[in-house]
Formats: sequence, structure tokens, C-alpha cells
Amino acid sequence: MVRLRLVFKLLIIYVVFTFALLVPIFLNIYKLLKQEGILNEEVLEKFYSDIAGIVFYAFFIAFIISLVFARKILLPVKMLKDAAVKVKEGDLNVQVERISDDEIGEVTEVFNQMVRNLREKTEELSKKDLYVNTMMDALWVIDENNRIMDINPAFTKIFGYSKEEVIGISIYEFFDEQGQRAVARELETKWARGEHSTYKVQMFTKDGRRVPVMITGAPIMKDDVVIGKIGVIKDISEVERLMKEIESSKEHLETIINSIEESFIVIDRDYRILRTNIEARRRYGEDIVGRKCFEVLHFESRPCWMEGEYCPVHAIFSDRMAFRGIHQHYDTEGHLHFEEFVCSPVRDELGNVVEVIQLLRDVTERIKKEEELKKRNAELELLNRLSSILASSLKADDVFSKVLDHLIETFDMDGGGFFLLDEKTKILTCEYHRGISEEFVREAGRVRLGEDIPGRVALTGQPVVSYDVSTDERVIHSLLKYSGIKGYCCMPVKGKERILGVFCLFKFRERHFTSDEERILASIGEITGLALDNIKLYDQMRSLFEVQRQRRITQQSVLLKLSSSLSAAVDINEVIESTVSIMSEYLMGDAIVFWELKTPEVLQVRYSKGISMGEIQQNMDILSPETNAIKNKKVYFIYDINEEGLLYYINNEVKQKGFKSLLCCPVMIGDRALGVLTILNRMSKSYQEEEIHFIRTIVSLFAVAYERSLFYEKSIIEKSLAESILNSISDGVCTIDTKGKILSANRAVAHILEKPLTTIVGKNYKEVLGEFVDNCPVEEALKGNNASGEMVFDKDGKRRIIQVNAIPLVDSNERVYATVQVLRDVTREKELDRVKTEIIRLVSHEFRTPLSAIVGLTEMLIDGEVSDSRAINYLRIIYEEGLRLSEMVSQLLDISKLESGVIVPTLTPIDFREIVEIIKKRFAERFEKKKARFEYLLPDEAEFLKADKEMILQLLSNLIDNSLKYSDEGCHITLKVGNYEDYVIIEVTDTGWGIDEKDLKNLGEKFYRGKHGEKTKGTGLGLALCREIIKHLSGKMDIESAVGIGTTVRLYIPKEPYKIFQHSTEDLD
Amino acid sequence: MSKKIMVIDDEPFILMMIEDKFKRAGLEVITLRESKDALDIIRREKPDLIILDWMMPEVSGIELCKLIKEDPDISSIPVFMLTAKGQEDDEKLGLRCGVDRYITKPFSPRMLLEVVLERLGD
Repeated sequence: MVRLRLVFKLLIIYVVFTFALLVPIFLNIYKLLKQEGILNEEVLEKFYSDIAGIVFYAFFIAFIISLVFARKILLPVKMLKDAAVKVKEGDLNVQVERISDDEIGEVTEVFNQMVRNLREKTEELSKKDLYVNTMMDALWVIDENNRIMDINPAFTKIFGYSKEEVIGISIYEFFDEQGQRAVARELETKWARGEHSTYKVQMFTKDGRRVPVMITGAPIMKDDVVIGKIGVIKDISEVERLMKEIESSKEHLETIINSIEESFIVIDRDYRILRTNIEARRRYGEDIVGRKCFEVLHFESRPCWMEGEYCPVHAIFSDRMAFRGIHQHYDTEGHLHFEEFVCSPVRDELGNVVEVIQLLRDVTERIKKEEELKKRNAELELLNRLSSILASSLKADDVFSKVLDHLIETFDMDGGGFFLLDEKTKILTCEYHRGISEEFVREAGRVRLGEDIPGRVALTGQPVVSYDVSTDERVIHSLLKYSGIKGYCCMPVKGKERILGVFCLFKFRERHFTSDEERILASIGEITGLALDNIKLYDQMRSLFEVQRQRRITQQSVLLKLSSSLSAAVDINEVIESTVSIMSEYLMGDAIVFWELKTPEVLQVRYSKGISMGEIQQNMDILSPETNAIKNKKVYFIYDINEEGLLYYINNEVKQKGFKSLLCCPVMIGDRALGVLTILNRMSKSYQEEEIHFIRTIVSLFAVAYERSLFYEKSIIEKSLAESILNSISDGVCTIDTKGKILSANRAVAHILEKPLTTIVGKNYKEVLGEFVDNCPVEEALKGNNASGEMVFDKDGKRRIIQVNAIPLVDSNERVYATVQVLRDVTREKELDRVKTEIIRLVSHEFRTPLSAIVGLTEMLIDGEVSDSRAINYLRIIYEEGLRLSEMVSQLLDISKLESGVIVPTLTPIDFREIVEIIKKRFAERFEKKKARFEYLLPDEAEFLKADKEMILQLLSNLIDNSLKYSDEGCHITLKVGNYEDYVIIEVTDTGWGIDEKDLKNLGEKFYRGKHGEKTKGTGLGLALCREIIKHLSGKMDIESAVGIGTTVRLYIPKEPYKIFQHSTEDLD
Repeated sequence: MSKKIMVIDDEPFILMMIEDKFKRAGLEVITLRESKDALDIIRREKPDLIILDWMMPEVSGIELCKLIKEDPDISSIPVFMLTAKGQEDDEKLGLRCGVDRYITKPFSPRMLLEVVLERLGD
């Protein structure tokens, strides 16, 4: 609006101005035109339109300019206006920017200043407002009619009224009658005069509570006229409460101070007593307050510390630390009191001590008691020490001397002594003494009971104590009187049942014994008495013990002796004898009989010493001490046979020989009875428990040894039985321990290994077996596993196969401790096995060839595919092959017959020439085919050998057959027969292929074909047959050969066929 | 052109038997008693089939078979092994050495002819 109005104003001004300017101009122009006569309609119209244009133009310009100017001028005004509005609204931080440098600018400046001032003032006022509003105390402003004009928030808080509620209310409303009067008084008197005052009164809160307050009022003056009053109201309820508490505390304190036992005194720096309690006044006087403490407490005229005494008060004033202690004080009647005091400083706020509080307590009683206790303790300690001395040893000598020394020291005496009473003689002897000369001891050291002081004391049990014995009237007759001894005491030594003696202490000066000391000395007398009792007891026990010990030692040595002789004894008789002899030696029984329980019904005398019983038997049915002992498993003894013996059957021998007592002890192993041992005595003897026990021990040792030797005998028998069995079997059985040592071996082992038993047992198996160790399963068995292996022995051309089975032997801990080997000669079986295999091979091979001829050719014949001439040939071949087959079968049969011993050779004198002829004929064709040359050399003698002709023929045929087979064409075969004294040597030599060294060994084994086996057809039985024959002739065969050169087979045939030629099996046992 | 069979066996009647049987069947048969020069003869004659005996002196049948099979000229010729050795291991060894067929003695000549013809027919 302003803008518009101002703008309008400006516009109008401008328009008017323009008019004022234009109108004259236009008028002039109009006049001019009119003058000139130009003015016509046309020109007028043009004029008017021009004017209009100009007018519009002028208006337009005016409008624009006024707008622009208006803005420029009006902007600061606007700004001022805005600022003013803001100020009105309360923002006092407004400052307007001065834009124009004119009056308006100045106005702006002034405006700014004005706003700043206003702000400051307002801030000040609001601060003041803040003070008023935040003060804790209530504040009201009242007018001259005492009506409330204003209150602060604290008022509301304390009294609960809001401002609106109280404005205009009279202040009297807040008080009760009494209060109102008080207020009115203040108001009228003080405030009206313009003075301010403070007074206590009670006000009511909104909810009717009374609040004690302190009102400070002041008038508000203006030009010396009171226009109102201002009052500050302080809530003093808290203060009142605290005041009450302090009051009550003070009361309590008073009560406490007055109720304590101690005297309570407060002392200042000048040693003046400021305060006391009842007790203090009672003790020290009613009027002590204000007096000096050293006067009252110590009756001194100066502070104690000045006298060199210790003053705690002074100490506290200087050191400022609390204190306690005890001091002595004589009361008004002159009695000594002990007082315990505690002094504490009272400090001011700077920490300086201003007063001392002293609490005093009478501790006289306590102190007295403490003294008493100390005394008692000393006494106890003395008694303890003595007791421990007495307890330290059970030897009287040790103990009493020490006790004496201790007593003399403790009681500050010059000497003393112990008198011990001999019950029988009733004489007191001074055993232990100190400070007395030997002479005196001799004189005064033996006192009869009742005589002199020690005697009287010992008799009556009443102690004697003297200050000075030399002048003591009670002592009349005494050696002591003139001995120089003065202070003296003599106390009885009381044992449990009676007085054992006395002890005395003396001094060469007078000595007063207090009652306490007397009491102690009496106690000492008692404890020494007890100690003496103990010592005596101990001695008794020791001697008893010694006796027992001796007895034990004797028993032990007997048992040891018995034990060692029993363990050495093996034979049953030895066992019995040893036992009985030792028993009789120790027990000194006059005779001992051992009855053996042969069967459960019969007891028989096995051994007797000191009496000859022969081999009498007892039936278990009859009632005798022996049978009883066994039946009831108890020791029986008869003290006197003649009396008790009537109840039992007692052997006549026993009765006749005059034995009076006997003891029967059953010989048992666990629950099993072996027999009875009877000890006989010529005197009546009863046995103590201990003796019986001892006898039982001996008998049980015996029983064990007896049983053991029984077992031993049995085991010997069993052992030899086992040995016989082992030695009779054909398999070798030996045991080897973990180290490889051969522990045992039976006969068969020696036979198999072909070594004497002595070279086997005890030796290491590796030594014995030599090269065969690898095959031996011993090691495996020693590891804990069953094992087996085969060993092949080759000796003198004889090959044997031994099968070994080894099993480990384990002990109860599952550890291997040995192994058992079973050796079995399985050569035979192996051979049979091989024979079987070979036969099968043979059958499958050797037989098949002839068979294939027979079968094949026959087939062809049957098929009719063969011409007649061919057919004859076929048939021939079939025949020949058939023959060959049968020959092989015969050979086999021959060998087996020979082996089984079915064939018995027929002995006839051999004509070698005849033999040679037969051979020549037999082999003619073959010699021709092979282009072999056959030569022979025979001795001149005719018949020099007796043998089976067929065998010889067979022998030579086989050899020659072999020579032919294993030679090339054009070979030489030579037969040589040599005649010697005891034997005949037949040699067949050829120039054939020779035999490999390896094959040599095995030649002659059935079906063994050697290297050439692959290439030639043969049965392999030839040489085997030869060997068998030679064996039957009791001869020997040797083969010499070199590969590529030839072979020589040499036969040794004994003339007396049953003469053993080969080395026989040695006597191996 | 009739087929040529070679038979090598040191047993004469075997040779005879086979020769007769085979000749009747129209086959040409060459027989050898020794294995010594067998290899050369085989190379020369180049038979269509060879029958060998295992057990022979000097060079055994199995050795000969190996030699035959090693020689590329003649390795294609089928080799039948005729022998009394009848165990499994032997047969295996035989077949390993290149034997084409293994015939155990005793054998039937009829059967032998059959298998030979069969083989020749392939």
C-alpha cells in the first residue's frame, strides 16, 4: 500500500508537472498556429493527434520513470518497514542495511541504533528477570495496600499458587492469626518507615501445610515514597529440622558422655579443664572445671612434662596425633590406681589442635589380674619344662640329674638331691645330688624312713620348707642344722600308689619360699613321682621283652635250619629224617614217631626215632590221639598217659617204654591229611600255646617237603616212562630252546641224522644240522608259529628226505620257551610219490606211443583202407608195439617185486661166456643198426660167481641197452668181468654221450631220465632195475662218466652174497 | 594241385600210418624221420601243412616249430603237433610256440585226416 500510495504521489507529481509543462507549450503552439493562420481543421486534427501522442508518450515516460524512481527510493523504506515489523514481533537482532546515502539512509542508521539499544535493554531486563525467576527463595511484590502485585516461580514452587491466583490477594491471607500479627507489626513498623527487616513466621501453602519461613522485606521507594514492598521468603523448614537434629545429637552426646565408665575431660591449650562428665567429677571432684589438668589428675603444680614426666596432652598439642597409655595415680585415700587413658585431638577447620579430649579408665583390677597370670604362666612353664625333661628319656640317670639342675637354677638354690626309697629296706638313699660333697653324701645320704627331715617327709608325705633351717625351731635333730645350710625345702616324690622318695633343695643363705613356690615344688614332687613309676615299668617291660626276643630268635633259627635241610632233601626218607632229628634236637622230645596215612583207613608208622615201632598200623576207626588229631585237624596232647591215656588207645610200646606224655600233630596240606607226628616225653609235659604253634609251623614245613618229594618220585617215574615211549617210536622227537640248544632228543633223531646222540643233545641245532639249517623250521616255531619244512640229506649217494614239523611250546604267560620238532624220514613216501607221478607220466607218455600205433593202425585196418601187404606190416607193428608195452609192464612189475622183496633169487653158478652169448644174440640187430662194436673181456676161470642168472642177464642187458641208447652210431661198448677174492667186478664201458655230473647223482632213480630224457624214448627204469638187482646181490654200482667221452658202469658183486659189503648203519646208541 | 603235407616223426609206423591214410585221401605226403635237416626241406618243399612229433632226438618238435614260425618264408604254414605229452602245460607251451593244433597220441588216423582237410580247406 505504501508503495502504491507513494508511487501514486510521485505519479501525480509527475503528471501535474508534465501538465504544467506541456499545457503552456501546447497552448503556445496552438496560439502560434492560430496566429499564423495555419490552424485549420486538418491541422487541428493533426495537432490533436500529435498532442495525444505526445501526451501518451509523456504519460508513458512518466509511468516508467516513476516506477523506477519509486523502486529506488522506496526500497530502503520497505526494508525499514520490514525491520520494524520484525522488531514489533520481538526479533531484536534486526539490522537494516544502509543502501542510500540520503535521509533515508540516516534514518536507517538511527533505526539500527535504536534496535540495538532496545535489545540491550531487553537483555538486561530479561537477565534480571532470570535472576528473579531462578532464585530458590520465593519473592513477592506487594503494593501500598499490601496486595500482591507479582510473584516469582519459586513462590509457586514453594506455596503452590500460580501467579494469576495470587495477584491482587492480600498477603495476610497466607498467615494464621499469630503470623498476621507478626507480619503486620513488621510492615507497619519497619517497612512503612522505609526500613527493611527480617523475621520468622509460619505461612500456609495452597494445600494447607504450614511452612516455617524467614521473610526479608524491603520497601520500594520512589521519590521517598513507598510505592510498594518487596519480600523474599526463605523456606526454613529444612533449617528447622537440622536445628532439631543438632539439638537431639547434643542431648545424645551429653547422655553418652555421662554414661560411660571412663572419665571424660576436655582440656584446652592452657591445660585448663573445659568440660567433664559425671564420672570425672565423681572421681576427681565436682569443681574441677576451669582448673588445670595437672593439678587435678597428678597433684602437680606444673605441667607434667616440665617435671620430666610424660604428658600426653602436651604430646598431642605438639604432634597432633591421638594417644593411649597407662599411668599410675594415687587416689585421695592414698591407694594406687592404674588408669588407662586415651587422648584425642580436637581440630579446627585449619587443622590445628584446639582442644584435647581425654578418656580415663581405671584398670587397676585388670593390671592386677595380668600380674597374676604372668606368675601362673611362669609356673606352668617350669612344670612343662620339667615334664619334658622327665619325658625325654626313660633312664633315671639322665632324667633326675637334669631335673635337679633345672630346679636349682630356677629357684636360685645352691644345691639339692633326690632320695629314693627302697621298699624292702625302708631306707632312703641319696641317688642324685648337686652341690653336696661326697663326704656329706656318705654321712647324710642314707636315711631311715621316719628319721631326719627326708625320712619324716617320706613317711608323712608332708613337705618341709624353712627360711633358715639352722635356726628353725621345728627342726631339732638333723644333720643339716650345723651344715651351713640355711634356706631349705624337702618335698615328697609321690608315685601312683606310694611315696617313692623325696627331693631337697638348699641354699647357704636364708630364703623365703612363697606359698606359690611351695605349691609348685609340691607339684614337681608329684610329677617326678609319676616319672619314676614309668621308668620302673619300662624297665620291667624291657626285661620281659628281652626274654621273648631270645625265644623268638631260637625258634627262627630252628625253622631256618629245618627249611634249608628240607629244601636240600629230595628223598622222602631224607625229608622225614631231617625233620625228626631237628625236632628232637629242639623240642627235646624223648621220641618222635611219624605215622603216614597210607589209605584213608589206615595209618602206618613210616619212621620213628627214640622208640622202635616197626611198621605198626592203626585203623582210623579206633580212638587214638593220632586218629583224633587227623579227624579233627587239631593238635592233641596228653599230659599224663597213665591218667588220661585210658580214654584212648595207646600203643603198647609207648606205654611199656615209660613215656608219660605225648603230643600228636596232624600233618596237613590244606585240608588233606598226610599223616600224624607224635612227640613222646618221659616226663609229664604240658605245652604252651606258643610251643604248639611252633610245632605246627614245623610240621607244616614238613608236610610241604613231604608232598614235594612224593611228587618228585612220581615225576621221576613218569619221566622215565615218557622217555621209554619216546625212544621207541620211529619218528624223531627233539626239543630246542629259544637259544637253539637241543634240550632233548630221542633215539630216532640220532638214527635219522646219522649222528650219535651225544653229539646232538646239548648242542646248537645249527651245528648239528649244518647245511640244512635253511630248511629247518625251528626259527619260525620259536616265533610262536607251527611250521614245517623238509631237509634233504645226501650221503654216499643215498638221498633221504626228512620232513620236520615244529610246534612252539608256550608257558603260562604265552611266551615261547622251546619248540618240539618231529622228524620223519619220508624218503620212502617221497619216493613213492615220485614213483606215482612218474608212473603217471610214463603211462601218459611212454605207453601212448605204442598205443597210438596199435589204435591207429588197427583203425586203418578196420576201415579197410590198407592193402594186404601193407596190412601184414601193420599187424607186425601192432604186435611189436604190443610187446614193447608188455615189456615195460614187466619191467615195472619186476622192479616193484624186487622192491617188495617178493623175488627170492635163485643162486646158481654163473657162466659168463653163456651170458655173453645170450647178450650178443639179443642185441645183434641193434648192434648192427647202430654200427656198434661190442667187445668183452672175461677171466679164465669158469664159474666163480654164484648168483641169480636172470638177474645178471637183466643187469647186463639193461646196461648195454643204455649204452646203445645213449650213444651215437659207431660207438664202442666194452664188457669186462674181473674175478677177485671176495667179489666180482663187472664193467660196462661205452663211448656214448656221457652223463652230466648233475644227472649222475640221480641216475638209477626210477624213471629218472636225465638230460637225454627229452630226446630218447626209454622207460627210465633200466638203471633203476639195475640198482635194485645190485642191492639184492648185496653189491654196489658205480658210474663214471664224462660228457662227450663216454660212460663206465662198474658193478661190485660179493661172492658171499650175505656178507655185508656196504657200511652198515652204525650202532648209534 | 594236390596239397602237400609234411610229417616228421622218428617213429616209422606213425609215418607209415599217416602216409597211407593221407595218400588214399589224395594228399601228397612227405615223411621225415629226422628233424635234423627238416628246416631246409621245409623251405624247399613248402608244404601246405606240417605235422610234427614233439619227442625227437636232436631237434625236438617244439624247437622246430619255433624255428618254422620265426622264418617269415614258412611261418604261414600251419603246424600240427603230434605227441604223447598230454598235459595242459604242454599244450599251452605248444600253442605259445606257434603250434596251430595239438593232437595227442593215441590218435585216430581218421580224425587226423578230417582236421587236416578242414584246415587245408580254409
